[in-house]
Amino acid sequence: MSAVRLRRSLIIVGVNGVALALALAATAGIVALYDKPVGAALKALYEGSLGSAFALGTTLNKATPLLFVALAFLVAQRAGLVSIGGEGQLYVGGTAAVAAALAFDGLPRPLGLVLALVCGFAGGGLWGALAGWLRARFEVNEVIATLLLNFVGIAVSNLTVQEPSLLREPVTDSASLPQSPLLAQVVRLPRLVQDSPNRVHLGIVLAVLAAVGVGVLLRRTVAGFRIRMLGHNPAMAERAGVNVAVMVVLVMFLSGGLAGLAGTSVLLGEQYRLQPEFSPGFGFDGIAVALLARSTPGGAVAAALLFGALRAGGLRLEAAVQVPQALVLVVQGVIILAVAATAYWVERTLRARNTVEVAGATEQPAMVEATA
Amino acid sequence: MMVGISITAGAASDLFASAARLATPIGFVALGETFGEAAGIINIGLEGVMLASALAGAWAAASSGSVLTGFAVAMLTGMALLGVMALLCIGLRANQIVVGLGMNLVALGATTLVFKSVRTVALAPGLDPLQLGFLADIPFLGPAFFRQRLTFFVLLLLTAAAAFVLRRTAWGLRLRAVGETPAAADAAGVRVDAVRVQAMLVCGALAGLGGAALSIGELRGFTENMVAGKGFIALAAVIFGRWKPWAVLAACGVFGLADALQGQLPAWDINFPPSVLRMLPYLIALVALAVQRGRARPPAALSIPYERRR
Repeated sequence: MSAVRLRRSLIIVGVNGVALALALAATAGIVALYDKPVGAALKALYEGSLGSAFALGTTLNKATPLLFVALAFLVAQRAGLVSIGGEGQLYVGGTAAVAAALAFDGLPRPLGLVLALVCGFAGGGLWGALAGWLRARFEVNEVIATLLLNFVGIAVSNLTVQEPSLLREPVTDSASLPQSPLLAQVVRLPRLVQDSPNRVHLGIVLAVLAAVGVGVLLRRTVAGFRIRMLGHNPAMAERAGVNVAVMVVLVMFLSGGLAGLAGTSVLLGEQYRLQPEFSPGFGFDGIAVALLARSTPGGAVAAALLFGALRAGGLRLEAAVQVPQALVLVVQGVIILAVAATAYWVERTLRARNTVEVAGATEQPAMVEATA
Repeated sequence: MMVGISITAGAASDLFASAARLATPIGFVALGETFGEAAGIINIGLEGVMLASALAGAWAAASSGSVLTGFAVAMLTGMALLGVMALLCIGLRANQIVVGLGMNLVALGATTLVFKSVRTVALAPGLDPLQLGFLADIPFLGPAFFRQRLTFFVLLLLTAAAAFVLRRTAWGLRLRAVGETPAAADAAGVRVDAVRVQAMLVCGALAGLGGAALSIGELRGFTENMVAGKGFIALAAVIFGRWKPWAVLAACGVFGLADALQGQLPAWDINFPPSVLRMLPYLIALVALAVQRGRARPPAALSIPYERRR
């Protein structure tokens, strides 16, 4: 058992190492094309992500939504569902959380915040469950359903801040922006370090707890076993007494809920108000995080921290050496493509190994086959 | 909400004209994706491909002074990017959705980097709307559809060609076969991987044309993230159009109309939330899919890499 797992870990670490090296090379190449010192750029990336209390806080806060979305993706993936609806679920969840936070900010601490978190989860969850229902009831491919629901979700969220009868703050003059009122202190996610430039908030703790929870759910519970069974062989799961339709909806609710918490953490922990287009694509980046982590909750924590650090470092990069932070997008994209390129080979190698050890073979469903 | 509307025929004609204009770039991309999906390849990265070829096309047109060169460069850019995706998705059996997401990030990042370093792409020579002889003088229809840019008419021709190729040619049949049952196609002697690569290259060429139709044809230049979701709309159009070229084109028309209405309603003093119009295309596509269940199946092997059983 341990030898197999060790080998698995070694292969994954090796491949991810190559991907990162490629990404670093791409970074250096682009910086050099800009005629800027490569060393200074890398230093700025480091300083912006880890070099100070402020930087560290930024990294952790940027990692939070990515981790939530990664967990959302991998829960669905284990059930054989490919959900690329994180972005929409994040918007709907975040919007629901802000609506609740605004409604309940008169309640004693921490009741309002808890209710807002619950609503954030439920909002994203319902958006996910909607895709699950479309798949279970109407046979709409979940890739397509979640993709399309993204844009509906974003528009719904934007609508709530554009309409004064919904969440928009009172329009005082023609220059007032479409945004919600500022959230009261009691319903914000509290900072973990008081009076420090480190602005890390409770979100990262919740996200890591969620990762632990997802890990336990999948590995140690009956529900988790059913989810994995569904992912491996839906027909067999059905025969074994799993109500596939109900399970698909439930899994998508859980997945959507986790993505909803991504939006919730950003809004309640950093932005403190709802604005149109508040997410710069966390819902898509989180999928990349899950991929980099080979869909394990523990790996997702590490990968989310890495991407969080890249995002945080990118901010500094632009200020320090005048290379646009769009560079970070390219780096992320290169990592994703490099990991995707090797994924098939890695899975095949691991599978060949796993057939020796039957119990270990139930590690991961082949996502591609499950999409059918 | 709605106060005393009186929409003249002229205004309606203008509305359709702008719908057709806005739908044109999306139409090329959607047509390309129709080929890709028919062969079993889903391309979430169309947004990025469109963006990159929009920039390449605008740059080439501006620096050469020739619209034709611009379109050719955009087309080649699209094909090159799809070539890379084909290498990953078909050569290395990588997950198509993940590769698409990666492509979007790389393209958005890279185009922004290039654009910021050159600061401005000089004004590209653009395309002027044509006047198609007596057709342009037909009441209502003339101003709406026969005073469009050349790209619009090329799109109509290409759609007809695509419908013919997919339905009536041996290559089209092979294409659909590898998208439905690659194993059977393989057994019948069709080279599955080769046909899929060809479909992806066609998709790239058309997506490139779509990018150029936007940057050269319409806006005469490039701005950061100018595609703004049109690549995803194209994907939705392919689904809404049930993988059939003319229906896909019609779907693009519907989406273009929703887009045009966003611009028009304020001019008519109708206060309608733009967000509702913006979500309409996607809602329509979803409802259409749910209603037609069973009859609106995507190609059976969509997004599944083909691997020969040993």
